[in-house]
Amino acid sequence: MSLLEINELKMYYQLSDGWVRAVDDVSFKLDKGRTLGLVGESGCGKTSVAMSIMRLLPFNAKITGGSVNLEGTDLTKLTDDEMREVRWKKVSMIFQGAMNAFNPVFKVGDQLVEAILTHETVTEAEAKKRVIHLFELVGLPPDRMNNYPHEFSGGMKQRAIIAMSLACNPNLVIADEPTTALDVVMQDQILNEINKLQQDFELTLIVISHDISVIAETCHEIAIMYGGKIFEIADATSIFHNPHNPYTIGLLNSFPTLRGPKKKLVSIRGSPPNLIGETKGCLFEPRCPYTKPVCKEEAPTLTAVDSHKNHHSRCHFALDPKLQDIDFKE
Amino acid sequence: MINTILWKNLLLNVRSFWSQFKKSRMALLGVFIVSTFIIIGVLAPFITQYGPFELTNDIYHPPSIKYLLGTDYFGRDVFSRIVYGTRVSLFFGGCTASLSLIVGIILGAIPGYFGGIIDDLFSRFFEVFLMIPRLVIIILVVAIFGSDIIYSILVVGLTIWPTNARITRAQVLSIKNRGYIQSAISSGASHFRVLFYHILPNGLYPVIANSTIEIGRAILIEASLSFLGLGDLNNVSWGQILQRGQSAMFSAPWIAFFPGITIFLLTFGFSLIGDGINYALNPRLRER
Amino acid sequence: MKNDILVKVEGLEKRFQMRGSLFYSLLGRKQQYVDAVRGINFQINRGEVFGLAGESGCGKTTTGRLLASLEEPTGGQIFFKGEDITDLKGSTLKKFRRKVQMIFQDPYDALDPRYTVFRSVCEPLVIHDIGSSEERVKLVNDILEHVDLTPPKDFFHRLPHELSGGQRQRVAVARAMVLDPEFLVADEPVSMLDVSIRAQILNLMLRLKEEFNVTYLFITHDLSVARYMCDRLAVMYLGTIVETGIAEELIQNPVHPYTKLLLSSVPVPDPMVKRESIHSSFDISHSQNVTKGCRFYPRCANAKETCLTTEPKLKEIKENHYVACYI
Repeated sequence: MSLLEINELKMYYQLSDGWVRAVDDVSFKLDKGRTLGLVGESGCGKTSVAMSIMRLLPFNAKITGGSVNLEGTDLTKLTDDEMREVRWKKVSMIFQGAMNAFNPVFKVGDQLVEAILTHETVTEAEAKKRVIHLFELVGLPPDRMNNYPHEFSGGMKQRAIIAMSLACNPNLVIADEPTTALDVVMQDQILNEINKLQQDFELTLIVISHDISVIAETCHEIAIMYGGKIFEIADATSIFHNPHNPYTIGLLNSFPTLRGPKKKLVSIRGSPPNLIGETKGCLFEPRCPYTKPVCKEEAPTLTAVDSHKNHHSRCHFALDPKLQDIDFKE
Repeated sequence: MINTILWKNLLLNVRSFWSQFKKSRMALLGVFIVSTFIIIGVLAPFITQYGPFELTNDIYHPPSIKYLLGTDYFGRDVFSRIVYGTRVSLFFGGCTASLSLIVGIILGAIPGYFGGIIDDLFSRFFEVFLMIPRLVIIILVVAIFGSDIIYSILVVGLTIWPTNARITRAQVLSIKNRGYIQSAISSGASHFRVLFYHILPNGLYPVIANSTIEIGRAILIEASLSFLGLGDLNNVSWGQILQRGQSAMFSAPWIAFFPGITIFLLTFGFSLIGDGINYALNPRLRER
Repeated sequence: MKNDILVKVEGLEKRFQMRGSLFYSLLGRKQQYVDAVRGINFQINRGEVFGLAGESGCGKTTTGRLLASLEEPTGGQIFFKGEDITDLKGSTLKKFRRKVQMIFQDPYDALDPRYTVFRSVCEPLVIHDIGSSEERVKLVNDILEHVDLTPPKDFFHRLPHELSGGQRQRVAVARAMVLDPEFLVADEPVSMLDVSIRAQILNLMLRLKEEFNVTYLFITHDLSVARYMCDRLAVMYLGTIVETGIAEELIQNPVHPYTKLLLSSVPVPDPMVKRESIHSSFDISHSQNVTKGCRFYPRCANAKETCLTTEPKLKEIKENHYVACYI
């Protein structure tokens, strides 16, 4: 049985103009010890999926369908109290911009101790010992426990946040844009840290990012999200070397590379879709160079591209070999 | 053609503001309340049967059909007095708030924009001004110059501006570094253009909101002044009515009751509008 | 090949005072300062895209602002078309501003929220009193066409909050280009945009460069973007240029240890490629304290005695490839 199984998850939230379909029919499985990457641009729903798993939704948001099964338990059906038992102990999260998550008037070490004491019944001494251990795990000198957040650099704060997310030995960790605000050298260190921790502790991870190179270096499986839906999902190598979805192909070609031949960057014309209201047909259709009449009429479902490799794509022409020659002209 | 484009810009801004503003029901309530009072004030001669100083023979008459809100010790119709008092309150509130607004914006924008030593000097100046005991000054002024309403307006208006200045300065400081301001500077815009065409239009919403609330506060101040006998005796004001009503609290409670309500209502109305303006113009409360 | 030098920078310095209050200076307390830019030299040729790359805090943004005259240098000189523009004021400054423009990182902050697109783009024309009413409308119309905001008339009356990030950045570009400037400083113009939109804006900028014959100073922390956009590149570290040269050459054959560190840290968008990064456990937070010698010394694996005592200067090691290092 997979550690995490999400089935047809739907999460909508209400604005004055109507219901926004932030997560619209998302399904995937994640086995223990594996890392899944959720890739997409702003508004695609990747953070919303994470918030739905953690049940940290704003007051105007609701899970309107589907299930989130963590080790057999459906998290969407738990009460608030039961969910509080799950959070941080079974599944924890590294939030976007987490470097600003620290309270500036308390010492960093104390904040981690507090996090542990809130969720587990241990003595303060035991919690402190655990924090020292956590600091060492993430490569922070334990004597820095008594520093205030402003005495930490950005990279150090991020490491402390990672330590905090591991404080109660969760089974699943969700990292939402863990390196976005960091400089590239720091980013490299943090990515190494994440990979090392994942290997040493057989952590199950979900990494959320808009940067495919970060995803490429950390994830076993990748789900490309667009407009609240998964547009393609497969193991990492297949996504990069054998994509079967116009959006995936476009996305892969819109990143400039440092190595290899210099190629012209593809730009996908138009902008991300409006998630309010029903759309007939494929959400990506207005921007897709491969669009055919059926794309406007009928929304595609996830079709298997290679069921051995668990590779699925949401496109009417996923299996069409001509799709590989798709040209995103200006 | 450019003029139509500029007018259209203005129209769009107004429409944009109004569509946000009207979403707040409390703000609309505030507008309703204040408009009602304005109309009452304007139509004073037409809706009252008696003048504000007119003496009738019915002393301490309770509210009735003849005297809607009763009469006071001198037989003056309370309703008429309140209606005419509306004018005084609105005039006083409007003038003091406007004076405070203008002085506050200018004295706040300059240190905010130019920074440095100018900022230091101005800030110290604000602090000195905040320490001035308003009431004592008014008593002094009234004692020396007499109790014309203009003096009270000047004193109050010239002592409540530091709040506006503080807000303006903070806004200018924070907006100065925005991308569009830097772009304007990089395009060659003069200090004047940057300050008056870009910074202030975007930064003034809290000051305007504060000013509308200040109108309410000013009305309260005016009422207190009149209550203490420092007000202008040539005009009837709510505070005066309150003062007279105080001594008749148990025998003729309607005299104090009604001006109390109107003072509260008008102040409340302005507060609601102020909140509404803040809500409508504060860009952070909008969706990106 | 005659290189037409458009911008030349010599010994440029910018020191920021951490402003204490009036009383601190009255009491004679020493003011603290930050040296954002510490004596850099470079030149930009007409028609090229010159990149300034580095991590946050290296001084690249400050350098850009100095070149666009949004900050005043505390040392050194800047030359534009041979003329010294270091201390421009008044009307000469205004004339200079017609030829040099700047675009910024945050598209959500780039436009005055109360101005319609037309007004924002037209404003530079108004400031410099260019054209009659009808001519201005035409100029705005044309430039909006150039940045692919078509049909332009549809965009005239839009307010910024009705536009997407990419559209706002296009308007910002249009506003910068409406005066037909000769030099454009672009400070991280795409880092806050969605990935699929970035390519749109980058390709747009390259196209405009050809159409308007404009020269760019392109500031970025993303080396992959620098490689895509730039002809020549300078890598900055803590206020100095450590390596500079032809972009492709620098990226494929870096010499300075910092450049090597930087390049090796960039993740590869290919799960099948194993990347070896140069690990450095040092944390940059206390580097301001190094006063003489090479600023990179604390992190450098190849550090020598000389590195600690004298700061290395840029010297040419290959044609058009300069490095500030004793390697």
